[in-house]
Amino acid sequence: MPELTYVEAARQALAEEMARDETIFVVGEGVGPRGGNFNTTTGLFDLYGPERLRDTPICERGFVGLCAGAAMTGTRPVVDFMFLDFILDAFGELINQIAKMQYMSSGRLKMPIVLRGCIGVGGAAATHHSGNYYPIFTHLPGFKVAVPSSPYDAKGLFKTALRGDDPVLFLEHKSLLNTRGEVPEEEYSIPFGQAAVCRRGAHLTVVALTTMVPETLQVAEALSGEGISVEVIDPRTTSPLDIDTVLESVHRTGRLLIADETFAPCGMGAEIAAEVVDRAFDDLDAPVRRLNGAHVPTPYSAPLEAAIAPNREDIERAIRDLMAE
Amino acid sequence: MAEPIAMPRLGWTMEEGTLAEWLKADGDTVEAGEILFTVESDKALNEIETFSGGILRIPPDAPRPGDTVPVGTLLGYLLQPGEEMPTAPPPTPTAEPVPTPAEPAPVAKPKLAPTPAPVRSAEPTISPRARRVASELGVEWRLLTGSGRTGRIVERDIRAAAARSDQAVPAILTTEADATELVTLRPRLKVEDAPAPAYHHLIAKLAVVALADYPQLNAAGTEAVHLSFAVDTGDGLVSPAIRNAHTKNWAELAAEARFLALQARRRALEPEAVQGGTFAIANLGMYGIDAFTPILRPPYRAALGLGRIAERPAVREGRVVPRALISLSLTVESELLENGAAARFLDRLRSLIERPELGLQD
Repeated sequence: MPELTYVEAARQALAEEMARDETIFVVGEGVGPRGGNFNTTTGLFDLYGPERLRDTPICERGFVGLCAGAAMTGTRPVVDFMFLDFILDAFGELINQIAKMQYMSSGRLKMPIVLRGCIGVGGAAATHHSGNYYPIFTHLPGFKVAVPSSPYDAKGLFKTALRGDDPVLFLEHKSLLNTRGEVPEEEYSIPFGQAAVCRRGAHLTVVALTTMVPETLQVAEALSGEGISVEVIDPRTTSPLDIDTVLESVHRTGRLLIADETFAPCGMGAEIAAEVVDRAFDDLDAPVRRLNGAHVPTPYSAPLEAAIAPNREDIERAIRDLMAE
Repeated sequence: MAEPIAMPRLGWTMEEGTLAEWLKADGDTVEAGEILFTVESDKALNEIETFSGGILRIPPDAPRPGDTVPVGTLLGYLLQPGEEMPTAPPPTPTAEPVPTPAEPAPVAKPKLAPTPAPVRSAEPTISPRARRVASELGVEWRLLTGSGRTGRIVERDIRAAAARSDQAVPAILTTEADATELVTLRPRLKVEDAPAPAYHHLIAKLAVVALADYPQLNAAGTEAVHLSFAVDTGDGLVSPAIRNAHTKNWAELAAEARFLALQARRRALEPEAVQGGTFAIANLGMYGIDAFTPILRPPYRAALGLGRIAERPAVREGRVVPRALISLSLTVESELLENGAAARFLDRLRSLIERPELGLQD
């Protein structure tokens, strides 16, 4: 099976779908001949030209509104925000129009729009280029939210995003873009709302999101030498969120840690913990615990940036602490 | 189905309304779209139309024109031909808010005291999962020591306890004690108005005395003895436990045993009263049973069975003499047989029964 980087795998999905469906087009700053700030569209301009790889000025609210209209009239826009932080300028269009239009029209209008961008802390990108934001979109009805953590998932989930009729946030963590992994040559897609059990374990369940997945897998491997058996679950999409897989796991392990780089308040950990306490109270052998980044805007200074995001040592400490409960 | 007609909400802030006038009479057949009644709200008289047809029925106890009632109050019904008016009015919809009092209640100044420390339960804390597993495996967890942080009982503690009790093959020891002196002593132990203690009350006290020397026989190895004894309620056995029996003299034990037995026969025991025993005594002497072996259940490590006290021939210094004899049997975890503790305990109890003044002094 060929190995691709994460960004190559997602780009392959986009290229294949653009070849299959000519209503798909990409809009964003530098997505044309430049190939995207993060190489998300490298080579596609030569294949599909300026009609379908539309460079824009810096005016997020404008081009998101245009794409909402385009989606309602039967095309399939992909908005590439490069850093997802820039989506914030388009929140009115996003929340009041894109997320609600299918409901407002009783389903007569579709909204097949994919909103992609890079998220996450890393590379001293400072606070305007380090946001995660998926808990915000997960909170709102009308969006689907994909947060792949591997090249395989990036391609499979992007395919599903491009083929569906709902608005999808497709969020790629910057520090994952160049990670490599096997991606099959044959056609496949990954349904939304299906978590991946990345590692089986018996003593403790870690639900990890985006970049916390590979980090937790490394910690789990190291701890297995001490007889601590950690199960690692990647929800892969936060909306819809696959709680059943988490419940099944907690039923076996009795202990749950949610590892998430972004902020704790009202986040994915709070949501997962509430669901588990509600539906699997009698399975819990210990309190549900969260590991999150600090609740502060991301600092520019590299040492400060490293201090506010969870790393492998933090994950290991959290696992040991929960095992001691 | 009878369709209730209720006081409608005619504005965001409307909590109550005045039924001004019925425009249809009890028994009238009405059609959808017709005006049924008028409601006086804050500012206006509102005509209320019906969205369904039917026969209007107004219960005799319904609000009358001029009455002011909360939103949602039942005013009448629309019935289909042949339908009866419901006898009990449907409950007022709970979604309707209760009218707010005209005078706002005084707001107490919040106290800025620190959060009080949580009240610690007398029972150990246990995780929800451990509680579930304990229930599935039939493990009595209240005596376990938890290995979790802060002493919380977690699943592994329950499984370990269950494994211990699975491995434990009970062993049975029996002996015979000469209770002649106990029989002589008993009538002299009557205090004040209380009835004379029963033999098994006295032997229970002696067993507690013997346990002080052999705490291994006490469940969980604790010093505190909670003495469980079986009571025949006529409808099955129950086993209430006398708390902290090691701190009580024979008179207190006898009084508490009588009280608990009475409560048991009245089915008036608190659920806690049958939990937490650490040593079990069963007495079948009153049924004329000579000897039996009590059943050992977790978490007990030992259970003592008492037969009847009866005059039997005994050999003393080469001569056969009549003595009051009692059969004692002890069911224990096999470990207690192997390490000798069970045999030494039973021998100690036998000698205490044969010279009862020693054990009944306090």
